[in-house]
Amino acid sequence: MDLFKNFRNPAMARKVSAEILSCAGSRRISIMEVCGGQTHTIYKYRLRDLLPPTIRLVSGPGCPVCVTPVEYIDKALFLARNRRATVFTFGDLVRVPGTSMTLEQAHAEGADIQTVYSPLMALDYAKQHPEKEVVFLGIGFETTLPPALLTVRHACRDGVKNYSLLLSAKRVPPVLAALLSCQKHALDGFITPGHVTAIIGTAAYDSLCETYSVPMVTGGFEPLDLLFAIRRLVALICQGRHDNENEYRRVPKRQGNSKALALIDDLCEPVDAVLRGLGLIPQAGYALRDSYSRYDADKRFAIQVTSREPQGCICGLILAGLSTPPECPLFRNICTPGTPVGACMVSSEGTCNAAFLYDE
Amino acid sequence: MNDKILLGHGSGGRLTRELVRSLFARILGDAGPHSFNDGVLLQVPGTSIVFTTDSFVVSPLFFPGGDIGTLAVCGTVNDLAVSGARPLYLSLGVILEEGLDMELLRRIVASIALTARKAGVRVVCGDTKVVEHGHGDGIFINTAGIGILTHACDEHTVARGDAVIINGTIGDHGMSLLTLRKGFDLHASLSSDCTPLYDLIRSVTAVVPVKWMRDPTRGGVATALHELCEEKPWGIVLRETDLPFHESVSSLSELLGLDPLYSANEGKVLFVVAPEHADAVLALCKMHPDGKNASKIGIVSDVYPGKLVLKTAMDTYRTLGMLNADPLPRIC
Repeated sequence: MDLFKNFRNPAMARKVSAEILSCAGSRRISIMEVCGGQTHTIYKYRLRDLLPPTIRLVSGPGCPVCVTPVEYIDKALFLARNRRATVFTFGDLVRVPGTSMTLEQAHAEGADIQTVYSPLMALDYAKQHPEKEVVFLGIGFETTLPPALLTVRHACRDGVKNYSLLLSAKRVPPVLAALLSCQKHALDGFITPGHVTAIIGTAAYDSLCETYSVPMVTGGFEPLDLLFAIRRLVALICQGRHDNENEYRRVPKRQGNSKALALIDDLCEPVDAVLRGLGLIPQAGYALRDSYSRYDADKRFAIQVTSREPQGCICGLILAGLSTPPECPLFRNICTPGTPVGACMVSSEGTCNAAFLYDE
Repeated sequence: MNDKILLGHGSGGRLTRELVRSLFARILGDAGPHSFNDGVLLQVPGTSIVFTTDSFVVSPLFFPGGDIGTLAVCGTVNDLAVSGARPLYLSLGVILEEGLDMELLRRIVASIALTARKAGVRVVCGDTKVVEHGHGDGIFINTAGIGILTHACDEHTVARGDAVIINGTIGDHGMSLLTLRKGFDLHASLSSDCTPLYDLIRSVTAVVPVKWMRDPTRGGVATALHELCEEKPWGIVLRETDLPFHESVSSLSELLGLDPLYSANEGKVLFVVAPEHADAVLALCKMHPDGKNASKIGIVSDVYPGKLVLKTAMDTYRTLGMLNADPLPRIC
């Protein structure tokens, strides 16, 4: 597939941009792009420059690293430093500040922390080192959860006894429901996250559209994917409709990925969860079912941490779509990708990171 | 000879002598020193001398397209070449870790010899130290190089309208090492671009008055050009659709959320030339085996003074800043 020809075509972008303008007129419209990957495309290709100033794009809470609370980093640090566990993680997480330090700093002090691209690499390591306690940091939304759960299923099948998951998995629909019900936003529409939707299916948003009378359009990650989604949302908003549609049809289907959903249902149950900046949200997380508790690092180890959110950082407001990075006094002065204070500056899906890199 | 490096190989005694004579000198051959005194007497034709040094701590030691030995020669001779010098002589300092396989060392020194011959330089002096097991990463190398100035660039002559040209695909070295380190085996087609550049550079500078050149190693193309633009009354606009990328580099960087403009190159040179010379530079590069994929990637512009700007594939503009920290691959 030629990305440049198909999804980064400037002539098509100008055409769609003109259509958006003629449809929206002078009406003020606020649209939230839920996923951090979408936020990055918007900044990277400066898509705001292709939209009328009356259309406001609000970055949402869909960056898995960003919504992970400080307490989770502290737990991972506790396992690596106090329990001498070998901790495996995705790269994004190592520079997120915990209360006292980052995983990267703990590694420099001698803690055994390794970055991987696939959770299965952590399980392989556990099999090769039966004398070690191996923990994988399973964070993310519905997209990254299935591969993490696969390690538990394989560990179970192969009788691996020294492997566990420190799970902090989040569910997109309850988070969107919380955003909509707090009514601080006046959001006119949502671009729902393409990859999460590939797992949960577009049908997962039906009841949200109905309950809150708001349109949702699933969007992809290429610049034109997003412009198409915005064009569709603007049309729906102007017609006063609250449909649930899909502009990323080459990936997500209405019913989602049945294998992944079955795996999640098999191993996990929905639980209330704390998201950084958003607080406790009912049913917004997943926990391993009791029958898998020996693979649950939270239950396997007596983890004791006292956590404190970083002072002065407004990550929470940014994640909730209530503030933008330049409104934070730390942004660019104290908080940079090299010396991040909040998680939004660390992750390559974080809004502050995108604004720092691409919005000079 | 032993098949492992021992602490005694760094003692300065018999073992050191044996290592230097029977491994380094024998393998380097005519690319090596003619004597083993404390210093070497060099004949340097011409008057202006360029002198540089670089250290090499790469992991893994061997990678597709080269090894730490290839890098140790290329890194230093390319620094000389982009300074407008013809590289002549290298020093070679190696820090070996106790227990290193002698066979690995042989292979690395053979690469040094091969690359030195290709680059037209001779290793004229050297030093060997051995550190205890666990105190080094197999082998660390330092090379220093001397060259004579053949083409003096002057970046103050760079002006609006000048062309920015690169001799081939961007980010190959950095991305191929990342692939290897992180155990991706799906990109076997990708290899480091590590190669000595003097021959290509000479073929260009012999004909065209190049205003500025640089080898975009660590920090990549974006960092090198960003440094050039800093505090200048002009900036540079790169056109995303003109940037040459190996297909594997494009897809891997999309997958990992990394920007290959910040990824290291070891066989690439950036030229800034007057607009009327751009076609000649492209033609000269394409005639050379190390310049087949040469492209004009950008233009010097006074619209964005002091800035490096990317015209994206969507015809929007955004600035490219300095690399802030080692990029972290993303979760999803």
